[in-house]
Amino acid sequence: MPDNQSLVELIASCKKGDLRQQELLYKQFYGYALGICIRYLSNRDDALEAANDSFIKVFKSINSFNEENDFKPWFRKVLVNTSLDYKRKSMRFSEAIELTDTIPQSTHTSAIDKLSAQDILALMKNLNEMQRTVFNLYEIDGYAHKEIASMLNIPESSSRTYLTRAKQALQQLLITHSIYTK
Amino acid sequence: MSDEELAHQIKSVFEDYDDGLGEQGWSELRKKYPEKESKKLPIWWLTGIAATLLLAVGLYFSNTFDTDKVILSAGTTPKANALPEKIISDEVKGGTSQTRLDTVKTNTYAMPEKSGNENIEPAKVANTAQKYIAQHNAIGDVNGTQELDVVVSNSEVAQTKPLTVIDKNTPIVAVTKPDDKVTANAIMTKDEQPTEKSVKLKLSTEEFLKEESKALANHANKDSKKNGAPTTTLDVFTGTFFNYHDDNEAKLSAGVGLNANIKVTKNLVFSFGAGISQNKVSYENNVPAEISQAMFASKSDGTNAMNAPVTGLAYSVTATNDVSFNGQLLSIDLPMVVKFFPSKKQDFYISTGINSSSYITQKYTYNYNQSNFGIRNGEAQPKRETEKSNLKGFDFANSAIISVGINQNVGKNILIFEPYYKPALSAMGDKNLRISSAGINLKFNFNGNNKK
Repeated sequence: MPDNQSLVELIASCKKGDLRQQELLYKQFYGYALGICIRYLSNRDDALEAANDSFIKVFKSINSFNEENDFKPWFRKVLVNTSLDYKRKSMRFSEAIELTDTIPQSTHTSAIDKLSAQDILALMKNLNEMQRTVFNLYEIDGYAHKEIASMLNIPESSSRTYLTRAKQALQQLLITHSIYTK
Repeated sequence: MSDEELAHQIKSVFEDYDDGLGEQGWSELRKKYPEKESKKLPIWWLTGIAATLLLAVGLYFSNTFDTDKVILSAGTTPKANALPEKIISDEVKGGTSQTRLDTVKTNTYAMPEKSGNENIEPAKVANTAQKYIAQHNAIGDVNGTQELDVVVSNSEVAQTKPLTVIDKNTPIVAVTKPDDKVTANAIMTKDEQPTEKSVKLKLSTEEFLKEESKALANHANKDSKKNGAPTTTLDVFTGTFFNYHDDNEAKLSAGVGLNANIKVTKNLVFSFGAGISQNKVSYENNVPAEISQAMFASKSDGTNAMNAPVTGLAYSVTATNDVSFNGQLLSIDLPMVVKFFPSKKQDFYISTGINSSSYITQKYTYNYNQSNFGIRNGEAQPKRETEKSNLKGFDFANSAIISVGINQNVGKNILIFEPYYKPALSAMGDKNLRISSAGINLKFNFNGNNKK
């Protein structure tokens, strides 16, 4: 990641429409963008497409960005919204994995620390689309339930329910995972 | 395990999730961005051209319909104030002669029959006067103008010229007296009101001719005044033209603008104005050295990611080929020309002058293939670079203007078709492009009817 000063200069160059500077910005934020998109979308190709669309949106609207603000939170919002746009078509609110009643069990922190990106993605694939999305929005990207409800056009209470079920599912999956990785 | 720990782990793992395929990702993005520009003419160009054409066509037809109305009224309504087709002396007795004037029946224009009366003949009185009368009575080109012979029963004519037809049934409208004065007694229907024209008929032939001579003289004066003024007129124009340079493909472009014309002498007009035009130039593989050098110079700065060494490699060797170049300049043009009208009618002109330009936007696009021998075994990667600038630069006299204008009257105004050629005199824009152009301007001149 570029330091703040060089990022400001880079963004200023991108505002002039300099394609070479846009490429530089792309390559410096490629990993950041892909990391966010891949959490929401089920495969890398979709994530790359969403990330690229987000970059295009940024290049087109970068003149509206104030360099005094932090670029990453602004870009994160673009990435999340674009990813959600991709997901909306496939989302089914009725979809929900009927979880068996589970009792939260403790998992060693060391097991979590060892989770790689692939492990986490594999775990998340076991969640349904809505649970995964709500978990990402609330736990990782810091949105409130009210915002999530508005973004996904669901009641706030449903957002809470999806989050609870996502956590329960992940707990269960992590236990299974830790058993297999022991 | 707490949820916070899991969330923290996920955040840290995905904060910079780089799969090392950023280059490929960028190539994918470039398929969509920047969007390829539409080759269609921008809507505002089309709107401008369409508006001008509509205006021109509308005014043309408006003018045509006005003429039709005049012809129609002349052809359908017998006018008491219409000029007599013939003045016929019914009989000549001593010093007194009686004259008949045929009322104009513009819908029939029956030719008079021959009769035995040999004392009277048609005399064509002052052709120019007749024409003027014919025009001002709006008889047009229908029969009335063809046979507008005036028969005057003065004795000199009667003795020397062959007689004309006398129709005794035609109403008497004028009687000549011994002193050759014509007393006009225009026959009118009850509901018809006397007009200026019918009053004229009461004049004697001599007076009538004098009056008409005066009228002609006044008309000529008006014409001369009209030729003298206005000394300044305005043109609005749209232009469609081709830009070309060397052997490259000609590019269609367009422009709009406004000109002021100042009359210097009778045949010489100084014209200047301002317009906005788009100029395009394209080079396919034969990019001039100065342009490609400019591209490589801009690529060689330290921030250029394409030439930056790839991570993990000690060196990066690149080769660039298949360079093509497109330039687009949206410019404010400031033409200054001198127009020479060789003919008295001033229905066409030859003009020459210079054009200067300032640039609203400049956009230059390079497309090329770059082979990086440090990665991918030198496989060629298509690259595209765009440079833009706004409101930058002024080039004085960057092209000459040679044109011919053909004037077409449209009502009181003039529609001008102006084919032109603008050879480049110097370079244009940041990349020093020498762009020549040839095309046609469609101009609409307000209050500039100089035609005689």
